[in-house]
Amino acid sequence: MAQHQRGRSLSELRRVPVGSLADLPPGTMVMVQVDGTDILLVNLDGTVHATQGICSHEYFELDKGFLTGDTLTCALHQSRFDLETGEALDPPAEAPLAVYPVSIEDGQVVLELPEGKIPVNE
Amino acid sequence: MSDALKLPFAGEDFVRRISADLEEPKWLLEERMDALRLYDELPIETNNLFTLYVDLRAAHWNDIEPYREIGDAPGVDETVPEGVAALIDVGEDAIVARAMSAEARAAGVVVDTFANVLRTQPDLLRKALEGGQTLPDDDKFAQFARSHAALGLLIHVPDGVTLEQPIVVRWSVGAPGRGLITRTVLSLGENAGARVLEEQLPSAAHTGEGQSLWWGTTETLLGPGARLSFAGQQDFAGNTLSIVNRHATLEQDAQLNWALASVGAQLSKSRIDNRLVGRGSAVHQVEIGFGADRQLFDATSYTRHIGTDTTGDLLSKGVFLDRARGYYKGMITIERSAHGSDSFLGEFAMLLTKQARSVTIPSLEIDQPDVRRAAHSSSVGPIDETEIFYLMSRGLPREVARKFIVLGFLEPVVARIPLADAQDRLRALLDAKWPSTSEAAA
Amino acid sequence: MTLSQRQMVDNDRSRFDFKDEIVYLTETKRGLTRETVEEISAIKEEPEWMTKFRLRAYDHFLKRPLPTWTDGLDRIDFDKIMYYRKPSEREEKSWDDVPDQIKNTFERLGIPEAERKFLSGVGAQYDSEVVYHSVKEELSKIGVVFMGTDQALKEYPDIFKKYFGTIVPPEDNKFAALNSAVWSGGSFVYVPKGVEVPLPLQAYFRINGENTGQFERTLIVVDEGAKVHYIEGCTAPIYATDSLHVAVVEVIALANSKVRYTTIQNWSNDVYNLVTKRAHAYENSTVEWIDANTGSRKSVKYPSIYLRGRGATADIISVAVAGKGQHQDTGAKAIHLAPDTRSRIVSKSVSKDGGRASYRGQLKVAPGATGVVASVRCDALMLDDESRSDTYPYIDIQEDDTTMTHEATVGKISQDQIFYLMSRGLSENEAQNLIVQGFLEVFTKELPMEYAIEFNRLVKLEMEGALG
Repeated sequence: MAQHQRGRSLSELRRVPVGSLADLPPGTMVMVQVDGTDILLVNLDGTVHATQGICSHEYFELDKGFLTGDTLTCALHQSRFDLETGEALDPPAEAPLAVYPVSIEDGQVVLELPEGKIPVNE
Repeated sequence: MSDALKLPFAGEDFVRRISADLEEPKWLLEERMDALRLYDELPIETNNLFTLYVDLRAAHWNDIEPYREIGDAPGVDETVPEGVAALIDVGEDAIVARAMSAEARAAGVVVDTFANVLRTQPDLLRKALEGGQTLPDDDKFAQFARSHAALGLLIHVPDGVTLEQPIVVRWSVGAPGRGLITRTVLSLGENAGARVLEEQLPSAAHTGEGQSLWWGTTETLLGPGARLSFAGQQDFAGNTLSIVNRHATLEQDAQLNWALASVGAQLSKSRIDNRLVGRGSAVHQVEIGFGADRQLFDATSYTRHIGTDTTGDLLSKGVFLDRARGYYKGMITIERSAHGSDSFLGEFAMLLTKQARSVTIPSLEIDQPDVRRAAHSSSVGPIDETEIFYLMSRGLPREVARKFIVLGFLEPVVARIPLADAQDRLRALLDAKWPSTSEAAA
Repeated sequence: MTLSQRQMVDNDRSRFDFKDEIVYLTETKRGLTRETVEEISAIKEEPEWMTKFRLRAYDHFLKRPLPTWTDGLDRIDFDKIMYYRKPSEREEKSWDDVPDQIKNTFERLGIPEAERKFLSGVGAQYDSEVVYHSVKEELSKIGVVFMGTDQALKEYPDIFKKYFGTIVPPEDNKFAALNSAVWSGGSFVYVPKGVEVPLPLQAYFRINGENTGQFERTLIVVDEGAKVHYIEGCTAPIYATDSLHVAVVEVIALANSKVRYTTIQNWSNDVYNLVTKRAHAYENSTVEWIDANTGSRKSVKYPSIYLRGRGATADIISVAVAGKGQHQDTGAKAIHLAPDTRSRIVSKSVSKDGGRASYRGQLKVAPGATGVVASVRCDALMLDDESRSDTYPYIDIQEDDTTMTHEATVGKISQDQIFYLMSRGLSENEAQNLIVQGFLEVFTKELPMEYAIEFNRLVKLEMEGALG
């Protein structure tokens, strides 16, 4: 499903294809890198979400975590995040995960990222 | 864990000004300053066991301006309601009613503001407050109330006096952007007996944008043989933050019954400390929470057995809908001196929707094995299908059956409220909270 | 070491001859530096990914603070410890140096002479090598791998890399980080699909100085439909070098498998025993931790099971006996991450003579884990009022159809029961001992018989205060 960010001038954003949807079946997640930054892609029942790849609580890769209902639980200390908004639902994390708009174009997963440094919360 | 308690209105200026405005004696200002120092030093949660389960993110402290002056409303109502020994009713920043039955007055019962008591019987107040023993010194929230309270209430029942009718204390808040910070001290003399009903209600002003705040205490001193039943009903509006510290010190053979119901408020944070100091002292405590939307009930309960043959019987029950959450943290401590303790802690929750959540931490620290009983029990479960089936076989539709069972689950607390009218009111509140559309349909 | 195996040793020792693998090494200095970690990896000739893993763990260890929710760990002086020592280069102790109390315990537990010397650090290699070789032959016929972790890294690199560090990442806690940086020794077990290992695998077989090493790391991978029982430890008191034992155990139970991991450990009374043991259980698998903690100055250990696949089952039975000067800070964790999973936790603790037994547990039902049935039962027995008992349970439920019950009691031995048994001719001590054994029976009945006998003997000694 296409999810677009409204109201931003296109020149501030770039569209980055990060992989094929076929490689990300529903109920799975995969880590990709853009400019050396880890980004987590999660396919929740058909909708693809993209969040920062490292937990906002402690440095730990989120692709080692678990999908719990429609939320993501970090394996390290079980911080839990809303996949749509990135909100930290369970401690110890308090800062939300940065989320990036995702669209599917011709079976490709495409992220909408700002120019320059990709925002990440810690 | 970030120290998310940055209250912009807190501080020495605020405290000194309030104390000066109230013309408080030096000793009371010193009490406030001592509390302020503690408030500044203490972290949000001193107990390492519980640090992860404190969530104050819902609070927008910056948008709240606490009341600095609480005075009598023009035309304070002094009629004594039917069946009540004494009443004090505070609405936002005004005392709207203050009444006492002739019988209670003759017996020497005091239900009045600190300011008034300081004029008429200052030693009575000083004896209770000086030294700060009526609140935990390791709790930032308690010390905040102790330093910043704009209104203090003293309820005193002298030695040997038993009041058959309840004393009612009523708080109404809800005006967006305003906060009421108070202290309530309850002292019962030797062999005194009383029942207190505390009602926390939404004021008419609660509509509109913005949060309101109620911050209070129940500081209880029970003399030897004293008996107190305290019922609390909290039904603040959904924009209100409610923070309370209840603290009780029981002397020999004193008996305390807590019956506390929380239905309202966006965030309800409470801490109860029961100190069973005197031999044979006993506390029976029942708490219920019925949460919906995104409410958070954060309830911590400490019971400390110090004297011999003491009893601590604690029960908490929570029902959660929508995305409501309950954090029930308990610690029972049986000190080495506390031979013959009887200690029970039960925590039971019902989650009625997928996103509701219950966290319970019923802890024990025991230094004395010579106990009559030391046990705790916790369970979480859906509504029992066999019970639903039974009621349906009696002709009730499924949804009604579920409601009956949930209300039945909470009834033990309701039954302990000492005023029939108040009981009915609570039952109606709980009933109204049950979703009319079947969000909770199984 | 059980009686039957000792017999095997005596009879069959002539049939085997072993090679001594001697590697000449420089001994690493005391204290922990980046160089130490690199040196350990170099000495072991490890692949680059393992060296990187160790260094990442080391970095984390440095910056991670000590846990604040349990006390006494700040007494560990990390600078005084020697982090790697090849067994062949161990300091030779003299039998005379071994305290009488330890010698007496060996006597009372019926430990044979050769074992005694080994266990007290006096002997070098142990004859268990013999038993190990014969067992190893049987196992390799059915495709089961059972060898030291160091060796497994070399011989089974693919499977090793796939699972190692995935169950307990170095960042999990400060001590997992330490172990991950300097680990050495421990067991690796791989059981192929559908294989049921007919005899319990015993870590004891593999003792060659590395197993009782401070920083052992165990990895057990049980493939689909397989079944294995792994037993670790023994009832005899064990010394640990520098009085510190920081271990990590990772268990992966793939779909439909069954794993039971039994630990009986009785560390000497000066040891800090800090262990992170965790299992991931997949669809319809069963993982059981059977864990006894006696001895040690302080044990911090919470066997955990993450139920990741539908229908998985977790069963944890933990007993702790805390005597004079001891703190058993143990418990269990069951994390339900998948639907229709079940867990049962039973904890029994006994504290006496000023000992402190704490149960710390976590039961979590995450969103998506529907239909969970979970129960926790912790009972604590305190024998006198010098002792202390704590219970710290965390129960976090996030699904609306979970059925969870939790019960805990603390008490003392009833005087009536004692009088009754004494009236039947038992001494007070014997009566107490019988009652404690009955209290712990839920655990002992899960042990193979020879272990149960030894464990009961051990409890008896603890009760008499004969163990120092």
